[in-house]
Amino acid sequence: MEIQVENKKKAEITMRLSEFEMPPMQDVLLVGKRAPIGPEATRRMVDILSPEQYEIIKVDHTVIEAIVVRKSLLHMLQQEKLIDLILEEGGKIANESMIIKAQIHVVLHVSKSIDL
Amino acid sequence: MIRQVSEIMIKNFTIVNALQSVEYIRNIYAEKEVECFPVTEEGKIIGILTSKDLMKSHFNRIAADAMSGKFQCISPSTPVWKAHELLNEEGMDALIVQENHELVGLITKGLLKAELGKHIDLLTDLYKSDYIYYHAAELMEAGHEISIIFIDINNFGSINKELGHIVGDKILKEVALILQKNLPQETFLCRFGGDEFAILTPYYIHECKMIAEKLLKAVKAHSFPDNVPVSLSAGIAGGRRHNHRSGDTFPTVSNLLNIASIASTKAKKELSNLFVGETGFADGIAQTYSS
Repeated sequence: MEIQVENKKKAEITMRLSEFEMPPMQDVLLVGKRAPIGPEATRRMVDILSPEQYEIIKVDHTVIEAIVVRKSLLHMLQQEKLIDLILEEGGKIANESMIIKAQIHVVLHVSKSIDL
Repeated sequence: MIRQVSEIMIKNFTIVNALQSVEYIRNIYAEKEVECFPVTEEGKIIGILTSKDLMKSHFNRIAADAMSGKFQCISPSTPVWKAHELLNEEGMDALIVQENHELVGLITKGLLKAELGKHIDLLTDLYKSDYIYYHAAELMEAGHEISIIFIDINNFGSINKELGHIVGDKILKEVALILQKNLPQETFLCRFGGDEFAILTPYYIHECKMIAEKLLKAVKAHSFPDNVPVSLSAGIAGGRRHNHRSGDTFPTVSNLLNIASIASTKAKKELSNLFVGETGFADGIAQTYSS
């Protein structure tokens, strides 16, 4: 008597659609010293995706090689102060092989008084 | 003759593009065992990627992000000694050899180390005479007058015969150390051969004599193994011209070395320890000094 074996293969497909973040690197990227993408590749990627909008700053840090910053942030804050702040916070969680993206919101509070 | 980089440079090198991945270049490295790669972009050399860079960089990185090597361009006629100076002083990893703006070769640290090892005397760790020829040429090109002090150890043959070559070698080592310690920084010392040492100085004769006398005294005052009494004879040549020495440096230095060596032999024979030889020395124009 012949035994019949039935083979069935099925594939389940799940799709997740979302809008491509533009630009994908948000406000700041911290590039680790041994990250898969170095500052030069990042510069080229950023220049192609968002020309003239980002600046790459090489830093002297134990694990971070460079920081990519949205230029508009540098118009609002002094570069040194911003970099110090990013390194202080980012340096706590980054390691050599990571690339970390960060969102930075700057809100300026101005209060003035005038003579009536 | 002084060796030039064209004689030792790597001619069969691989150029990589700034956008090529570290992984791709690692494969070339594994196949060809090349010590470093010139990195180019749009036909221009933008950096040097060393084997160390390849080891420590993430495989996904592009060459432009992995290269850390410093480099400088030199011509094929650059003396190997000059290349050695550049690599050490400037902290370079490699030198690019260019001819008519075209990349023709590479000089790496390892390559130079192997080449210059041939010019180091294994017993005393001093350079051999090629070193003096190169620095003499440099000094002359810079408009300096040069002088040579030629030194040999008195009765060294007898020391070797009576006390053995091991003691003889120890004495040679110690004499080399004493000479090194007592020489000003801007002089260049080499072991010329056997029990002979040569010193190139950028000084005029008066200063040169003072240095030679200081060396003779330092050796005389030193206690050598087995209390062997050791003394030196020295001959001096050059250090008299106030005008720029013209012409090929090689025959000039050879001539000065020759005059100084003859003067040293004469000092030894006359037991005067220090003798100043001059051009035309054979005619007997000479002066003796006792130390």
